[in-house]
Amino acid sequence: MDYTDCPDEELMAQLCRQDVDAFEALYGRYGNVVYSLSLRILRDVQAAEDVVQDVFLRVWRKPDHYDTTRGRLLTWLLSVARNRAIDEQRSRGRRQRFEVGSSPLDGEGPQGDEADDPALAALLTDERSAVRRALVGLPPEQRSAIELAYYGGLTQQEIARALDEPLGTVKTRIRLGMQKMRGALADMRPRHEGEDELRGSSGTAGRL
Amino acid sequence: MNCEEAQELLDAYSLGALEKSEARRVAKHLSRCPSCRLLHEQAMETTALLALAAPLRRASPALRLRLRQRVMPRPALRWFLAPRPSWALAAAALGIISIGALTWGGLLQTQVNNLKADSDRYAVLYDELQRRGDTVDVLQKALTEAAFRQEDIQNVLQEQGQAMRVVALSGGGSEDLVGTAPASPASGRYLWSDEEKLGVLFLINLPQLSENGVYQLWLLREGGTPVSGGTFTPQADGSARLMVRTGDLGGTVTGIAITVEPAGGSETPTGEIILQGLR
Repeated sequence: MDYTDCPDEELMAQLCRQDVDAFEALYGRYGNVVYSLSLRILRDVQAAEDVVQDVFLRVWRKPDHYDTTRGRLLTWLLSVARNRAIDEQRSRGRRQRFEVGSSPLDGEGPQGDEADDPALAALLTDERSAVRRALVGLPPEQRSAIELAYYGGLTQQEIARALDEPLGTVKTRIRLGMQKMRGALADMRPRHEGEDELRGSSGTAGRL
Repeated sequence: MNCEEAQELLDAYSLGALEKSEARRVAKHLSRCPSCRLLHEQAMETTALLALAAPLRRASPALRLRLRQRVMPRPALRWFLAPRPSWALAAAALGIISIGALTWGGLLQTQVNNLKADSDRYAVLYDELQRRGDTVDVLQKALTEAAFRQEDIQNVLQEQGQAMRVVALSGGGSEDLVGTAPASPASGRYLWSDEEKLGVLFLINLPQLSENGVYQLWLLREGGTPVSGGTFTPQADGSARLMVRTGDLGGTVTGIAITVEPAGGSETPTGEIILQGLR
């Protein structure tokens, strides 16, 4: 069966019935994004592929672990992959974790393989450019703290040590930076009931 | 931990950037506070989107294949993983398997025997082919020899035909030959035809020569050096025959003689005269 235009929720429903075609469609849809994240964190093709394999096999074996009422499938997949990659990175030794390289936003124009792959470049184009815009819009020190935490897997204390800054400063940078990100990306998140009252958010409703 | 404290830490918590003890306290608060849980979910959404800032890379096709292999149904494996049968059933199954194994063993033995029989048959066929191949070789050689012999026979017939013409045609002559002291029993006759420009030598009772010697015929001319008429060796019975192409020489020949010369012949006579003409 062809699941090319099938919504994520329907895909997951088919996955619960152990539909191999649905699984392949899911991988075709998000495999490269999950791989790119894993590779960015681990900087090792083999290790990144192992993470992708783990993540998708986990989805295959336990598709009901994904709760459709709690956010998008993509963000769930990315969270699972990120946690798995950071675990792997930690198991490789803490020293390596401090070798945080350049920011993923360094350089101009498209990066990675998308320059010569239109199909890849078309993948989540709007969302990817929105995230990059939001991240670039942050003050460099806030962006750096967030990236060290997210891609480097460092705790606030480790970031403070790595940057030789007071812990309180790092905490503030992360909090402010994430608040700004949330505001910039409000349109991309699914809305939850009562959200506006809780946060006082002025973001417009709807999702991409 | 109250809601205010928890919300202060939610972003760092969603990034996994809290120390373990802190993270445990936040988790504990979230487990009993639905409104903070909702905020945490939002924070998690935003955090997850950070992933999209990573440069997009293409995963290898091999990874897709590996995953496909892992999720494809494997009937054999499923069979093994099927619900455990009762002991009685298991015993029965074992019995069937044992009988099956015996039958299988028997089947294998039969197949081995069949293969051996086949192998023997092929060996016989191979030998037969080898023999036929050898026979073909022998036939080939015989044919070649026969072809050479046919050529020889044709040559002999041609010579005989020419000799007959020399003998039969007029306008020539003949000369009797007698052996000298070393070969006194030898005798013969030389015939020639001016028309055919050929001479024919017939000899009998010639002594055999060593390997290094040949008989050579000389055509003698008045006031000139002898001209070689060719070399020859006698047959086993001491007879010999030689065709001589005399060309325009025929009329000038005044006599003939035969000497023994080294193998290959000589330019001029070097050996003793063995036979000579009685012209």
